[in-house]
Amino acid sequence: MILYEHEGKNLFRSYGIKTPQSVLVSAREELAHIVWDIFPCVLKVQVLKGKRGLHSGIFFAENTEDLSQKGEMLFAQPFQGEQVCAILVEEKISILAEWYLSMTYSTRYFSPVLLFSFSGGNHVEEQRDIFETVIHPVRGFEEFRIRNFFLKCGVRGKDLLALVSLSRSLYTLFSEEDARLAEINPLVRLSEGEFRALDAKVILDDDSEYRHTWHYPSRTVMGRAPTPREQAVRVIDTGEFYYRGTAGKYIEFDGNIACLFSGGGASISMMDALEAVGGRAANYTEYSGNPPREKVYELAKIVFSKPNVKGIWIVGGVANFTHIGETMAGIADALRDVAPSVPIVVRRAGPFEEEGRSRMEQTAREKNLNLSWYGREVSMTDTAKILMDKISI
Amino acid sequence: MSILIDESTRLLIQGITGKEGRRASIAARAYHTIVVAGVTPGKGSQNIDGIPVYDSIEHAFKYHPDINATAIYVPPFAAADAIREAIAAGIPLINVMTERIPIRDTAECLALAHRHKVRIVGPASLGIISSGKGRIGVAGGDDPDAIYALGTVGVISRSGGMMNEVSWQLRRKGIGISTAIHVGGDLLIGTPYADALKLFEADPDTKGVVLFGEVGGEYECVVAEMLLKKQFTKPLVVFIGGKFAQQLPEGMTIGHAGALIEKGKGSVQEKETALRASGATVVDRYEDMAIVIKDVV
Repeated sequence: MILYEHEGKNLFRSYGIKTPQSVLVSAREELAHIVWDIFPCVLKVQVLKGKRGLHSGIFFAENTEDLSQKGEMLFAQPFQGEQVCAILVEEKISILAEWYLSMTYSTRYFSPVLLFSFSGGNHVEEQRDIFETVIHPVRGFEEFRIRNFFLKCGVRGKDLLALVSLSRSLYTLFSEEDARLAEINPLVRLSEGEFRALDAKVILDDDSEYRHTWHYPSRTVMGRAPTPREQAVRVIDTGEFYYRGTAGKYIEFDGNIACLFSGGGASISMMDALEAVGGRAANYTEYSGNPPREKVYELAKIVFSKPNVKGIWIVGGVANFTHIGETMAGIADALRDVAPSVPIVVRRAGPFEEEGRSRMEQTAREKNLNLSWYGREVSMTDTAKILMDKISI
Repeated sequence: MSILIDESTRLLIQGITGKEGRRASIAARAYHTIVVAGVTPGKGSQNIDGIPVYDSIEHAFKYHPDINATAIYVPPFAAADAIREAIAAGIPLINVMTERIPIRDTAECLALAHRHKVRIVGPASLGIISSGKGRIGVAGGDDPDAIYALGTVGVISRSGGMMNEVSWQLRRKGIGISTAIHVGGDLLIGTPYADALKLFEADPDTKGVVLFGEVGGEYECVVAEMLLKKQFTKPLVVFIGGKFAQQLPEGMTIGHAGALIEKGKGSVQEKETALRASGATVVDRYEDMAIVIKDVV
C-alpha cells in the first residue's frame, strides 16, 4: 500500500524523523476554520502521484486569506486526474540544500539497502551519484558500517552524526512497519547537522498486514479513488484463509475488453498480447492458485458487469493443478447471471478441462451466448487476435 | 542429468497435513520421487497416506537421516520459522511454496540460507521437475508426462502457470526438458535466474535454456552481465511479460509481488535491450521460445 505524504510524515515523526510543522486539511469546508499562523506557508495537494511541483500541486501562501484562496484552488479540480482528498499546509522553511535518503529492498543483494544522494528533489532518478549500502537482514543496523558509508560519501562533522541517526530511524521504521520503501526526498539541510523530511514516500508490504493494525483508508494505486467494482473485488480475498487461492486482483482501465486472466505471469503477458493486436483492456483481473468456485464466481460477476464492454476474454495457460472444472463452474455461474451479449473467447487447459469446457458450453447454449472455447492446441496469444476479429465483424 | 532434483532426492514435506502439503506429497510420489517424511508441529506420530509425520525436522532426521530436500507448505505467518528450521537442519535444498510471505521475513531467511550454504528455491514457487526423474511440487499436475518429456532444454520461469504453459509449447514442438524450475514470483527469491543458469551451465545434458521473465527487479539484467562474462555459454531464449506496465504508476505491483513498477528501471524494454546486447535471443510471443530453441539445440 502506498501512503500519502501526510501519512508517511506521521510515521516519520513517530520514529523521530523531523518534518516541518504542518496541519492537514482533509475537506474543502475545513479551509474556513483552519487554525494556522505561520506564514509564508506551503500548500501541498495530497495525491499518490509524484511531480506535484511541476503540475501546480504545490502553492505558497502569505496570509490567511491567501491560504484559503489557494486551498480552494487545489480542492477545485483533480490533480492529473487524481481526486484531491486532502491538502497539507506546512511552514515554509529556508534550506541550504536538498539531499536524498531512502530504504528499500535490492533485488541484486536480496537485502535492505540504504540509498543516499547529495542531490534530491525531482530529478534524483536521473542522477548517477546515488550511493548505496546493504544492511544485512540478520545483523541489522550496525552504526559503524553506516558511519563508514557516509564517510565514504564525503559527509563530515555534525552532518555525519545527524545522518547516521536519521538512517537509524528510517531503518527502524522500515523494519518495524514492514515497508518496501521509505523515502525522504528531498531531505533538506537547514544548517549543519539539522535536517527535515520535506516529503515522504512510504510503501507498506501488503503481505505483512496480518501482523499490523493499519487504519489507512482504502485507495487504489491508479491514483484515484477505487471504483465501486474495485472495492467489491477487494473483499473476496479477505477472511481467515485469505491466502488460499487468489481472486481479488482487479484494476479498471478505460478500454472495452473485459479480461479474466489465470495466473500472474499469464496475466501480464496477455495484457501485452492484447495491446499488440490493438485491443484495449477494460480491466486487469487475475485469479490464481486454486480458488474455490464461489471466489471465482464473485470475481467473474464483477468483471462481466462493467458497462460498455465489447468483448470478454477469459484466458489462462495449461494449468498445473487448478481445477478447471471448478473455476469454470464459477465463471459459468457468473455468465448465467449476467448473460453478456458480446463475443466471449476462452482459452484454458489443465486438470478437468473437459468438465470446464462442457460447463461453459452448456451455459452458452442455455443463455444463447456467443462463446468460443479453445484448449491447449491454440496458444493464449493467438486467442487475442481471435477475439478482436470476432468483435470487428 | 538434470539440476537440483533427480532419483536420489529424498523429500521432506513441511506442512504435509494441510491440503496443499498433502497434495504435493501425492504429486511427488506419483512422479518418481521418494517422500520420506512430513513435519507438522503438534501432529507427530500421525501418518498421511502412509508417510510418517513428525513434530519437528529434528525428530524426522532421527529416523530419516537421508532427507536431502524439503518442500514448505505452511501458511505465510508460519513460513519464516519453517524455513529457519530447515536451514538449521542443514537441508541442502529448500523449496518454499508458501505465497505472500512478508518481504522482511524472506530477506532474513535468504541471508541465513546463504550463511549456512543451503539453497532456497522460492518463495511462492510451484516447484521443480526433472523429466522422468522426479518433482517437488505440482508442476504438470496429474499428467506431467503429457508435458514434460526427457530432453535437453532447461526451463526457468518467474511464473508457475507459465512454466507449464511454456513447457507445453516446447512439447508441441517435440522438445524435451531436462529440468524446469519455478523460481517464484516474489520480489526477493533464493534462486534467481542467474543461479539457475549456473546450474544448467554445469549440467552436460542441458543444451539450452528458455526463460520466462517479468517486469520488475534486476534479475534479467544480472543475467545479461553474466552472459557478457561468459558464465553462461549455452543458447538462451527469453520472453519477458509486462510491457503494458509502463503505463501504470510507479510503486505498484502487477501479477506477482516481484513485478514491481519502478521509475527508470526494471522495465521490459530495459531488460530486453540488455539481454539482446549480451547475446540472448528475445522473443515477443512466449510460444516462440519453442521455435527458436528448437533450431539451436
